[in-house]
Amino acid sequence: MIGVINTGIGNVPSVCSALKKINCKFILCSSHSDLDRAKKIILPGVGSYKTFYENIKKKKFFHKIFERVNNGTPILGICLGFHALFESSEEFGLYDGFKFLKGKVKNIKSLNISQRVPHVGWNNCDITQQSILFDNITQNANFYFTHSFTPVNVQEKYIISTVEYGKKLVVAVQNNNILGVQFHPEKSQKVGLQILNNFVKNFNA
Amino acid sequence: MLKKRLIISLTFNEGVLFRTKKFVPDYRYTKNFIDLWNADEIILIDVSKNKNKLKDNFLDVIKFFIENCHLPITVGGGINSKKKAKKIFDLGVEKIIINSSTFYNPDLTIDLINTFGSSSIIQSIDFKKINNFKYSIYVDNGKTKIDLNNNDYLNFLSSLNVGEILLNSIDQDGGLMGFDLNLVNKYSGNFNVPIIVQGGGGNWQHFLDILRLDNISAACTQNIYHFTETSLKAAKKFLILNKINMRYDD
Repeated sequence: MIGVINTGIGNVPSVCSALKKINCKFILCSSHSDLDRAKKIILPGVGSYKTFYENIKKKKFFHKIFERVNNGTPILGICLGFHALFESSEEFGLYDGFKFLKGKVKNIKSLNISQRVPHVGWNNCDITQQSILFDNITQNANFYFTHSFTPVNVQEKYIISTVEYGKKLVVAVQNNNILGVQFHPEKSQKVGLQILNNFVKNFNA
Repeated sequence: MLKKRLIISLTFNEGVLFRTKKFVPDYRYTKNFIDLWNADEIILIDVSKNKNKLKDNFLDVIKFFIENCHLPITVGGGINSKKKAKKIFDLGVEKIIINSSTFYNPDLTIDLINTFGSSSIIQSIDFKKINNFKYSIYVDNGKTKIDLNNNDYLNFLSSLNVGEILLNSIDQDGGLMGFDLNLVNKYSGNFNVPIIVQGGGGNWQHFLDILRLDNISAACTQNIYHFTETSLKAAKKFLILNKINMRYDD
């Protein structure tokens, strides 16, 4: 059973409909007891990190997720859920992340690139390290992105994919049971569904 | 490298798909949109009369697309409160389009950006041509001309930090005579966020003409005859052949 954290914002229904499409059993987690039933966690999120963070704090999910993941439960963070894996995010203030991985989430503008921000649309992912997450995904497959913030100073050994947008942006990470993607697999058609399938069916930490 | 986008924009009146311009109701196509595998994004616009906007029949359309198309979905038409915006986002929509509401209530737009993130908010701007060199900006679906200097208003919009700008030509809309390149050249420099252009895309050459511009991230089509898998594939092939960087999946 996959637990999808009901963050109260954004793309939760889209993630659910993608999971339905790949015949995955999941539970939408709105409480701790829902989360207790989940063997793996998907943490979705689109919008503003501030709202996202306040919502998971409000529902007291923050500590609970932290505990589960530290005890080895696999987690896949998507977009804001990906940002949450790092130390902090500077979106509309300074907010804590779970600190599962080193790195800080900053505005793409702070990288001093000439490209327009937000980075929105389809971009091809350079898969830099082998991961079950990218099984049956070809090198340079296109995924859908929409974000203004990006993690910086991420440890090389945990980066599994980057994209080119003026500079190389870190768009997928893995450290044992902790996985995260900047793009939206639930919105990236076939390749996106494949990513979700890889996480829910094939991934074992 | 980031790809240029071909976006399909669908207009609905009380939940029923409508063509642009003459708005003849057309029921035949709605169910065929399940697999728009070569569209890069879908925009759903509610064109119902004000009192009938964002009602269940349109929300059902959104749900249908969320359930059946694993593609980015943007919704617009009559979103003028935070409550309405939340209702739309809660369905699983990534982005919303706002237009007149920013003119009347910019604080709401700022609030929406703070709550839902700037990359989730698209500001649409409707232009009407006065002559070959001059344009007026309209709100209220082209009914009200704004009483501000164009550049002042555009710079103001730019300062709000919305995620994307949608430049719409009222004159070209539904005419299939090509995008208004003059308009795009004149105003795209006012913004440093991605720009989507809408209004006038009739044939693939039109899309090439507009996507060729460095400033432009995406082109929108409302032409019903483009809404088939083979049609979009052919379009993308043509654009790629002409060196536009597009996503193309077999």
